[in-house]
Amino acid sequence: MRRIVIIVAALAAASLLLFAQPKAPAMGERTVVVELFTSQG
Amino acid sequence: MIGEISKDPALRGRVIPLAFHVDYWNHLGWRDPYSSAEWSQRQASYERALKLDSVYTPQAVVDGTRQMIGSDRRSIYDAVSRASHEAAVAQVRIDGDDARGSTPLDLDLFAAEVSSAPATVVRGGENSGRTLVNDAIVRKLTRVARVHGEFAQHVGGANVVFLQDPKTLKIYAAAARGVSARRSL
Repeated sequence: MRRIVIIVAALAAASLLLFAQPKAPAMGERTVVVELFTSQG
Repeated sequence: MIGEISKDPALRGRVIPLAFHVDYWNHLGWRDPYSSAEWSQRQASYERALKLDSVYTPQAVVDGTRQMIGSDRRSIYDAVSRASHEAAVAQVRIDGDDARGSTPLDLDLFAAEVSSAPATVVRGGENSGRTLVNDAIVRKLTRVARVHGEFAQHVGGANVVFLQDPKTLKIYAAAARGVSARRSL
């Protein structure tokens, strides 16, 4: 029984790690500039 | 990533995305139609200011002070969150054809013309065969003036303005015309 609980807990933790996405940032008052240096080539 | 930022409802009106297409990969078989040596030089200036070993793409720079891999969503959002909570030392806004504001520091006022473009089907180079979106492309960037105290400067048709320290390259304030309407970028 204890083994099953541990496995379930491990699966739950793994799924949290796998599917957790960063949430939108908690924004303050200042407007922020994000520059992206990129290339199509 | 820049498209995601510009379309994220949580960031609308709070984050100004600027895509600078560099030209140093153009020899690999595909010339980026939006690339410019000027943008490569701007990235090199960040390399010096942030004491980096090299430049790379995609690279994100947040408010001129923090840099990370341009596809690293979590790091970008963390940096945006931190920067947005810093005290507002200077102010700038777009008022008609002018940029108005105030600053206790000697800062450079920049004006940018930014727009999106239709997606590009890449027919050469490392991204050959891919269709790439083109959001928030910087078409023109002008250093308008060195400002201090209260200021009002003509910026014409620019839709983004920002105040940047000429030495550290930290961006202290920014504004966009209609930044809340994502179509404008």
